[in-house]
Amino acid sequence: MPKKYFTSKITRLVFVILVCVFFVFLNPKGFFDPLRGVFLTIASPFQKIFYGSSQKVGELSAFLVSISEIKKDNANLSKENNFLAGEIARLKQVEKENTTLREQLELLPRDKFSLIGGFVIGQDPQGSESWIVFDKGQKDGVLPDMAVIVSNGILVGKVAEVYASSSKINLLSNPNNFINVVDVETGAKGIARGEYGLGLVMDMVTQSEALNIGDTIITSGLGGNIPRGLLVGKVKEVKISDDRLFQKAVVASRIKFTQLETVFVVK
Amino acid sequence: MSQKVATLLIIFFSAILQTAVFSNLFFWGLGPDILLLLVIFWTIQEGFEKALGKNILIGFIFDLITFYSVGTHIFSFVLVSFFVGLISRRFLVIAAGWRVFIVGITIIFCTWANSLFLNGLFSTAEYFNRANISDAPVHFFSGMLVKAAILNILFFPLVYFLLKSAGKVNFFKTQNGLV
Repeated sequence: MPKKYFTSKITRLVFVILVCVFFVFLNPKGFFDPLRGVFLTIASPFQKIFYGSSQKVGELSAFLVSISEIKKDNANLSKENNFLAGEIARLKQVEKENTTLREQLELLPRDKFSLIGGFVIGQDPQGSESWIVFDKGQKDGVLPDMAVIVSNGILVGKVAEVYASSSKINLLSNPNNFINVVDVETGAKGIARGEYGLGLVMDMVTQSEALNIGDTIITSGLGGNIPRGLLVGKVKEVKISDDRLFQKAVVASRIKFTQLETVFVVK
Repeated sequence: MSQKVATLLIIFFSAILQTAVFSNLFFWGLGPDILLLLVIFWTIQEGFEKALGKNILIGFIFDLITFYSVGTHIFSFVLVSFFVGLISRRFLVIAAGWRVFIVGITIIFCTWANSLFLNGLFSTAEYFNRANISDAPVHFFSGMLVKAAILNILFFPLVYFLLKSAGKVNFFKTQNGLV
């Protein structure tokens, strides 16, 4: 080989590339976990401060942008307030019915979970709503595969990796996240997972089962550490899989994953 | 020594900014790839070989903080740096007026190339059934990639002037006088 094609620059490039490929392909992912744990312990306080502050700035800028809308909103809110006063009376009755129904469905009361609360301190920089960083870890009792909810019992994802003082949470919209779910109205069972372009889908529902737009999807409690009865979302669209063996539903979550501030891990 | 500490701090806080701040501040849910901009800046300023250590450190810290397998971003950043080195040696010696334009094109190319290299690595990993190295999709020929390129171009002057200011206090000495 002529000498000019074998410069030190290319040698270095090839060496670094080979080392990287070696680490990515041949080493187990956990090889650097102790180092990652130490790094995240150092980074965690900074992430917490920066994430909290930037959310406040983001909210303020969103508020400033929407300031012209406030007068109109105020009038609408007054109307809504009157309407809601009437609704409160009706909802008291619904609450009673809800308690009875939850007992019949053997769902855990949403306020009876043993929870580990904490703050979101980071997220996927590509804006793909794939994962977030939680400021509690092994020291606080967080374990892999535990369910992660927001305060009112809506599932947002599950714990993927745990380090000393922080954890990585894979969100529902992450394609590597699989959660057993059930349609409350029809009893159809399936697996909720993320899908690029669609967000959250309920997959592997057999053709014999019914899925309707507007149905409520909750966790089924089958397998893993996810308790039954956590709200996943509502069916937005129903599709047939390419092989025509299964049905697939696009599920709309009530949560904006990029705006999460506080989440709870279900013990 | 102070130069190394300053470099480490710049990379560390840039990684924090990218993962904890930018996603909250930008309406697109996507911020500028400040670490990629550091790779571009240091490669143009110092050349591929001298900036190699810094670029490996950038990729290493980014892999740690974003939960990727260590090596993933080192791979893409070092490749990007190699091509930036080639471009800067050949084209940035021309008239000053054109440099801004060429740097702009370089940033667009690097944003695209970074996605290309990551996609290539992920596809190969998937082929060898090690798909778990990637949780997040890498935007490739998508609207998000265009937005990322725009943000990177808009933020490069900020990175440039901040690092140039740091250079004036003797942290970063221009090696080839191009920047």
